[in-house]
This record gives sequence, C-alpha cells and structure tokens, in this order.
Amino acid sequence: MDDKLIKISFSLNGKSLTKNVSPSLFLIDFIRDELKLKGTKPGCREGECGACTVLVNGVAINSCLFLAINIHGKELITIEGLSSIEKPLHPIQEKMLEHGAVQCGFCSTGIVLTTKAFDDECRSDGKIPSRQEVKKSLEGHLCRCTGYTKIVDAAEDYLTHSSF
Amino acid sequence: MDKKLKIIGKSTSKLDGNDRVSGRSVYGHDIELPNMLYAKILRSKYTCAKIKYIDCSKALALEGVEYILTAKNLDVNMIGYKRDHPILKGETVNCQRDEIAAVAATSREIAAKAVSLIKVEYEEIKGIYDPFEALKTEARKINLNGQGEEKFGNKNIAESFEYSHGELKSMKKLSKVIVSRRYQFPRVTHCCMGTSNITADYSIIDGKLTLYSSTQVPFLYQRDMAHALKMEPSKIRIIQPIIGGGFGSKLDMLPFEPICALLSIKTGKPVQLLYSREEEFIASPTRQAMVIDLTSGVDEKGKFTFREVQITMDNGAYTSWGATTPFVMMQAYSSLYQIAACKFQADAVYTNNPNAGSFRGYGNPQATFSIERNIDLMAEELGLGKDEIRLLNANFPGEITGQGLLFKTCGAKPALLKVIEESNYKMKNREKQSGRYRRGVGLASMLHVGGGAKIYRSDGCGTRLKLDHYGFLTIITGSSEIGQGSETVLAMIACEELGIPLTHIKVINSDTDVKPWDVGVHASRTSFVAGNSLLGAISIIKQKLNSKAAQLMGCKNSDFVYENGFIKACEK
Repeated sequence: MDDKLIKISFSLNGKSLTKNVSPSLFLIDFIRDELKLKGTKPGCREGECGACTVLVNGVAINSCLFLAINIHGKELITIEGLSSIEKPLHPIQEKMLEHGAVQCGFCSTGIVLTTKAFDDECRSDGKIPSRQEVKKSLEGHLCRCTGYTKIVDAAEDYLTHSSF
Repeated sequence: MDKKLKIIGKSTSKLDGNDRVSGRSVYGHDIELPNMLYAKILRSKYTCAKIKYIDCSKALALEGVEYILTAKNLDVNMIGYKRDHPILKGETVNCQRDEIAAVAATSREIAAKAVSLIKVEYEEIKGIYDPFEALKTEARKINLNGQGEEKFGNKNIAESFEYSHGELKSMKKLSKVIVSRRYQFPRVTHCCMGTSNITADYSIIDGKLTLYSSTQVPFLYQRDMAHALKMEPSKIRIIQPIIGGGFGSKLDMLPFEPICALLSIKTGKPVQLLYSREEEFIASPTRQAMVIDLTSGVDEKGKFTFREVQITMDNGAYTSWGATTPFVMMQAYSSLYQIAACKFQADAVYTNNPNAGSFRGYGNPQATFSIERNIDLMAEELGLGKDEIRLLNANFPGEITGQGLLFKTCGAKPALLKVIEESNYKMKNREKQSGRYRRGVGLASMLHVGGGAKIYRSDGCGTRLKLDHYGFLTIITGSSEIGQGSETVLAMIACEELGIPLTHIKVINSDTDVKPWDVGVHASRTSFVAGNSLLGAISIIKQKLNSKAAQLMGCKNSDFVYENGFIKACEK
C-alpha cells in the first residue's frame, strides 16, 4: 500500500491499456489479480516450471520473474489473446489436443505460448526446426502428467508442418 | 463380441481439452468469491518439540487480520486414516509440517505478515528419524494417539499387515539358490503442477458449508470433513474445481482443509488457502519411504520356490491411506510369477519425518523392483538366462495363485516372448560395455490391481442420465475428472451405445449435492466401474426409449437402431 504507483501504458492482447501499478508487483499477479486473466498459471513462482509463461514483445517469459512495470510501452500477449471469436483455438492448441498432449492442463497454456514464440522465431529465420530443437525450445516447462513425448510430438507437428 | 465399434478404440480428443488448453478452465487457484479472505498456516519450527506457549496478540492487532485459529478451544476430531492426526497442534509437534496456527486476513500479504508475528516458544526434543530406531523398546512413543502397543505389540507401529501361503520351510529346503537382499526406497513427492488449494464458504445463515476442494475422493472427503468438524455430512457440499494433477496425493484429507473450513465457519466469510510451491514440498504427502528385506529361492530346475519379505515403512508422524499400500504389495509378492510359498510382513512405523501419503502404483513400484532384482541375481547364480527363468515361472491363463487370484486371462508369457524377441534381448544382454554411461536392457513383469480395489465398504459408482428435449444427453456421474480423461471415456461409451454424437453429450461430475455416490478416483477404477454404471443406466434409458418409440411408431417393441442422434426402426 505504501508503494507509489507508476503509470504504465501497454498493449494487452492487441488492445491499448493504461494502468497504475506498484513497482514491486510481479507481472503474474498483475495479470491474475488486476487484469483478472486466470489462464496464466502459478506453478512455482520462481521461474522453474513455465506455467506462467506469457509473451512480451513476442518473447516468451516467465511472468513470475518479471515486474509488471516493465511491460510499459510493450505488447503483452496472454493465453486469452490467442483466442478470437472467429478462431477460438490457435492451431498450436488444436495440435496439442490432437496429440493428447493435454491432461490436467495446468502446464498447457504456457507451453502453447512458448511454442508460438518459437514458431515466430523460426518463421522469421525461415527455418524448420529439428526435433532436438523443438525439445530445446520447451526446456523451461515442467509437466507431471504426459511424460513430455506427446507435448514434443504436438509442437513438432505444428512447427514442421504448418504452412509458411 | 463381434459388434463393430464406432468410437471405442478410436483416438478421441479430450472432451474438456478445449477449456484446459485455452486457459478457460477454472482451477482452485482461480476462484474468487465476494468478500473472500486469504488464509496462511504457521508451521512448526522444529520436527519434534513441546509447545510451551503460542502468543498471537501482535498478529491479531494487525489491521486486516480477521481470525487466528489455534488448537486452543477447538472442538474438533482428529483426522487421517487412523484418526491419529490433530488438525492443529497445541501441545507437541511431531514433524516439520505440523500446523500451529492459521490466519485469515483480507489479503495474502497481511496473512503472511500476521503469521510472521505469531510467537511460539518450543522445548525441542530429540526426534526419531529412522524407523528401525523407532521400533526399539527404549524408543519414545512418537504419536501419542497411536494404538500400536495394543494392536501390534509395539507403540510406534501405526499399521501392520501379514500374509502367507504354502509350506515355507519345505520350499526353502528344496531351493538350490537363495538370495537375500535389502532394498531401500526414499520418499518422493507427487509434485502436482497445481499446488494444493481449497476455498471454503460457510453460510452463517443456514449452517451449510461449501468447499471448493481438489480432492480425488469427494464423498469420503465429505465424510472425513464432517467427522473432523463434528458436522452433519449432508450440510457439507464439495465442489471440485478443475484439478491440476492428483497422482494419489489427494486421496487423504489433510489438516489444511478443515483448517480453511474452520476459518470460514469462524469468520462467516469465504476463505481461500493456496500452497506456495515451497509449502507444497514441505507439507504435501509423499510416497512411503520403505526398506524391503527380501529373500527369494529357486530350485535346481529354475522354478521359484518361495519369497519371504519383511517391509519396514516410514509412516512419518501421522497415518494416511499410504499405510495400506501393503494390500497391493502382497499381491505382487504372492502372485507375480508362480510362487509355491510366500511369507509377507509389512509394518508402517511412526517417525518424526513428514507423514507419507498414497502415490499412484500404491507400493507396487517398490515391490516389483525388489522381486525382479532378486530374480536377476538368482538367475546369475544358477547360471540360467534372465529371460529363461522368467518364462519358466511366468503366470498363465487359468492359474490360481497362492493368494487365490484366478487369472481368467493372462498374457504374461506371450508378452515376455514378444519383448525378448523385439528387444533383441539375447544379443543385447551379451554386449559388454565400459565407460561412465552404459546402456543395458532389462526384463521385468508387473501385476497390478485395476478396475477397483474394494478398500472401502462400497466400491460402487452411481450414474444419472438426462436426455433433454433436443436430443442432448447429460451424464451425471459420481466419478471425478483429475486430468486422466474420465469425462471423455464416459462420453465415448454413451456415444457408442446411444448413437448420440460426442458434441451432444455433457458430463456433470463435480458437485456432491448433484452427483451420485462414488468411492473416488484411484485403483485404475473409473473407466471400469463408472463405465459399467453408465452402461447400466443406458440400458434402462434404452428400455424406456424403445417402448415409447414403439408406441409412437406403432411397431413392436424391439430392434431399434441408435444412430447419429436418431432412433430408427430396423429395416428388415
């Protein structure tokens, strides 16, 4: 309460927004408690599990290790930002379901966003990643249900077969 | 059965997958109720101590603190499988996770601050952390509520199981090779991605308690909660939010759950309690750490003669369902491969370690590992192939084991043969390797319960079906979904039988006020038990539909085809 609030302007899932936030507020709490977007999951709050992954200027980050004020002037995309009325599921999400890569689902939203960021990176480099590179791209994510194989299958399927 | 199946056996997308993958699912962590308070628990500083006093005055004076719960003036029952676990500890602490006090405050920050202001004075006692030390006669009684002395002849035994079949002595005499080994298994944690959580909402107006709980066993949980709080079970409504992993960890009700309920009862406001990841490691259950002393014998022809096993389990300070894992283990020791004689003894021993819980596999990983390792050692000593010795002793269809299990069907031998052939076992087993990292190939079999375990009075599950005016089917099932896909399996069964497309099927499974009884998600039982319950309900609804359709269509009451959401008269 004692913190002086700082005004930040940013884009949230494509829409401009201005908010006053405490300089000590972590992005995950800003997203969940103030923006009320609950698809960003609190798994460990110490950057180990990847469940709270969001995209800041297209880069996948752990929102539990990132101060909210640092999204000033930037573009924030949460899992809710991948859905639209016209297209409720992103093709990555469809691949995850197709491959049985979603069980309890707590880790799933973070994995979708990391795959999206890696896909954008591959597209701008004009390359198709190897399975090893796909695995490497997902290394910051923990999952207790699937044993990872199906997650890697889904990501690989999307990253190597989606049309350029 | 030569019926051609339309959907069973085909890969089907998870019914609830869309919501989970898009962040729409509401987990316990996502619940926000009006006027909600946040709870935090103060845990013990020591693993073993006497509590001299607890002073909450500074914490109570903090603005935003609404209630502080301690063992003082608390009229509750003990919890746990053996009812040996006080919800809050007022006189002694027995392990690191022991709950001393709990705060409800208007924010998480204030709750945390208040916990840090509670002063507790302890008198530390030397703890006992090795179950073998705890078994010694001179050892202190660890859990004062334990009944080991009366029931098992040792004050620190929490639970004990024994089993035997066959003539152990004569089978020992027949043995050419006898191998004795000790296997030690550490405690491991479930590490669910979603940490433990509960939101309690008590109405001071009608005395009803609604709990949003991540439990695998909602009806046992309702009963346990009612016993703990001395309430009428039917006044407690359990709503299961989406659960971020279970793996057995949510089979027991733990102290944090009645604590949160009590805070809601005391304040008349909804209260939420979420574990941090650190707290999850400190205070959620573990697999029972155990020491297995196994002696196995084999005769000169390579036939197994006997197994004699003594298991010492580290129960921790309090007893959970995890203490009953010997039920599953004795099945492996007595019936995995043909065994003429078996003697089994397992003791769960109190220590000042974190209390264990149940974990999927339920003791079987530990049991099977020890059995198979002893088999390898016996094969080596006897000069028999590790594959040959297993084939020679493999279970077979029609076999009745010493424990009385009848294997109506059994693929043990064909499965072994296939693995031996496809892994190129004979060649690979001969390759000699050196260096730090080596690759090998090993053989093992497994025998496990499935389709229910009858650990409670009823292993049943109820189903209610609602067919609406527009041809949509709602399955109201007692079974729970914890990510394993039970909703999808049930919808597939209904789709198969009633010809209603999956898109027209809904599953309601998360509210004890609505759903019929089910014993819980465990023992690989849901597809089988809930599935058969559903089939029963479908056959009743089909009779009704058939008779109504026959009446409407003016034909004989038989032979309708259920297809694509329609009931059609069979073309003759």
